[in-house]
Amino acid sequence: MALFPLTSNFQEDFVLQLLAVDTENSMDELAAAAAVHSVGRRVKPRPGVLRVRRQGTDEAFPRNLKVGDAGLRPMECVEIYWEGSAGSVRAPRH
Amino acid sequence: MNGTRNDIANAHLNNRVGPVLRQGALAKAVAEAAEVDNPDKTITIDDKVAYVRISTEGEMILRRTTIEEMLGKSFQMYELEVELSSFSGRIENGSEQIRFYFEKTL
Amino acid sequence: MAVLNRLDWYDIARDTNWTPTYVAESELFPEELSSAFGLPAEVFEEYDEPYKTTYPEYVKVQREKDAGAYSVKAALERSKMFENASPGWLSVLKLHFGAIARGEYSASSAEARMVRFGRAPGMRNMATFGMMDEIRHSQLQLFFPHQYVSKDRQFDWAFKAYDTNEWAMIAARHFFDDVMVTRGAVGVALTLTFAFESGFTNMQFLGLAADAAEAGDWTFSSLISSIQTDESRHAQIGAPLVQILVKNGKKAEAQKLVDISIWRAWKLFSILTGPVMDYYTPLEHRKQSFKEFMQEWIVVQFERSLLELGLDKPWFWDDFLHEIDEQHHGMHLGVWFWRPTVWWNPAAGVAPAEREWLEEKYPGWNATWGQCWDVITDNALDNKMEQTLPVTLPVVCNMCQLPINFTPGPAWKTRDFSLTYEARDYHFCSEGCRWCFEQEPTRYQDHLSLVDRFLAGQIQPPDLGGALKYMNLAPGEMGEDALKFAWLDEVRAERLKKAS
Repeated sequence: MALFPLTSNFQEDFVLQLLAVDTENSMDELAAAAAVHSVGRRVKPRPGVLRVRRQGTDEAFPRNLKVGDAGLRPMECVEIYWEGSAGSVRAPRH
Repeated sequence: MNGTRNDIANAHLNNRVGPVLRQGALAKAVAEAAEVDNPDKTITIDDKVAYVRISTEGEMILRRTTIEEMLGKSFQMYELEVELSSFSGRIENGSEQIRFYFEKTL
Repeated sequence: MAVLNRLDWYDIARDTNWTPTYVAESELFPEELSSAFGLPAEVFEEYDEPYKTTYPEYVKVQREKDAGAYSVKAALERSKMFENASPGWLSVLKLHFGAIARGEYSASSAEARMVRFGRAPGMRNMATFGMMDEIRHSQLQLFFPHQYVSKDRQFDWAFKAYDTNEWAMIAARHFFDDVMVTRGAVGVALTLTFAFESGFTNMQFLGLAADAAEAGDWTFSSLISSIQTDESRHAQIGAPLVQILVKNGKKAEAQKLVDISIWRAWKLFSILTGPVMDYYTPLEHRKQSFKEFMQEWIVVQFERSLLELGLDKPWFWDDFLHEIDEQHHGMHLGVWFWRPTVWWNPAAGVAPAEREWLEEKYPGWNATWGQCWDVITDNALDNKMEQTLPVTLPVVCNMCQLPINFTPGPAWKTRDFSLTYEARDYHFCSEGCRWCFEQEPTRYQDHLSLVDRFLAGQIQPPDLGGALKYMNLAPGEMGEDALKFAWLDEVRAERLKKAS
């Protein structure tokens, strides 16, 4: 049990935000915590499952994986997105 | 959001020189003097209400006596600074004339 | 008695070089303070300032400038500008004075360093005038807003902001300290006078003067355009140095300093000038879009001058052109969303007619930024005001100190440009900011961003209330929507029209 700060980059949001989670949290719990700061504030709610991936990767972390076991560094940037949704996969830059 | 990206990418390839003056009587006199002192050139006046951009290609000369004539009162060249908020190109300011120019032509 | 023309006596009067006998040259001009790139004194002898003035001329001209600015102020004092101005316009004034007035004193100290440690007599001479110019700018920009302090305490931030840890102020101070306070004489001539003053100050002091004139605020328009006449002169201190450095094999060093200053100035102006021009200034008074002003002043005028003096376009120029289309929209949205953390009242600027203008000036605005503003607008219409406010901090960049943001959408353009240096992880908003850090990591490495301070436990209690206290924002000073959401009326009317 330890507080673990991360950087949240939420699909369709414009800004990176500080996300305080616990090492014991699952990736699903992390995604839900991130959604509080984006969905319904600047991002339209969508149906579907939220997934978490390390910035720059295409593969999501397993949903039950604990934050403390993911090999993330404090304040590392994770991307939270609706699985399979339009725009969830990174398009080429510019 | 590409819009005018290509125009902007080449916008620096220009040779426009000249003063940018605060709006007022002096700006008007300088615009008139620019025509007189640069007879072979096309002078462009871009009025932005707060300021006026007076420009031409490559080189612009403004003479103290011409500005004096347009103002209708005595004028020292250094008094231009009171209204000279900015300028394009290089500057060379003497007592009888001021010159805006580029050494390189793009 | 005949009076000699200035050029007939100028050179001999200002050539105050001498040969030191009691101390070594290196003690008289220590490299740390002169930052002459190790070049010998002789190479600076050809320094010839292009925009010359003399002390008698300076005194006469400055007197006339001040008489002009003060008489406009006096004449318009009874015009009820404050009472009649749109709330968005008052926010322009608050942001401008708070971010800039005290920074002018830093600029004065930078000029003073050139006065003492500049390697060329002409440079020292022009910097003497520049030093006095900057004192004038601080004093004018503290005096003018002072008349409003009794009416609105956010105006108190004209003086107060610089001493606080308010986040936008941390950002402004980090930049000013970098390019003004902590560079030697030659360095500061490049970062401050050449890159910042002959380039970017035109945006804030002339571009904005055009909007001010349109908005009917002649006092402010006259004040800032008058200030820029000083800048226009002393900004020329840097140009001859650029040429000397290029000629003596120091082009890469000169280019690097200029590039750092341009990139950093750009980031600051994306939050200082962008939102003001494209969102706060009432629609009917906008002379041009922020992007159009950037094109006029920075691309057509300033970028051209880089090439003239023998420098190249900065390596990041393509990114920069990309950013002037997009970055300030995110800065605006961030400032508005985190509005309790600023000392002015941001105007949302997204009523239907304003959105139409934004779409016209920035094609694609509605499909990207507009999506975020739709959610905000719906929440406000449903009176879910708590959803229009934040409950966490944005992650800020370890260089520009501004929220890391960019255009939302499937390209995932917003991202963290990270770097690990001596076991510490740094987070940047862009390739440009990370590059600035990499040029001289020891210069920047110990600075803590607001988020770093929060995580280090310096902000207590660790919540928004604690953060506001840390930033010295008292009730009555914290920002709120400039129009108190009156713009929703236009949204309602538009929706009714569509429904019927």
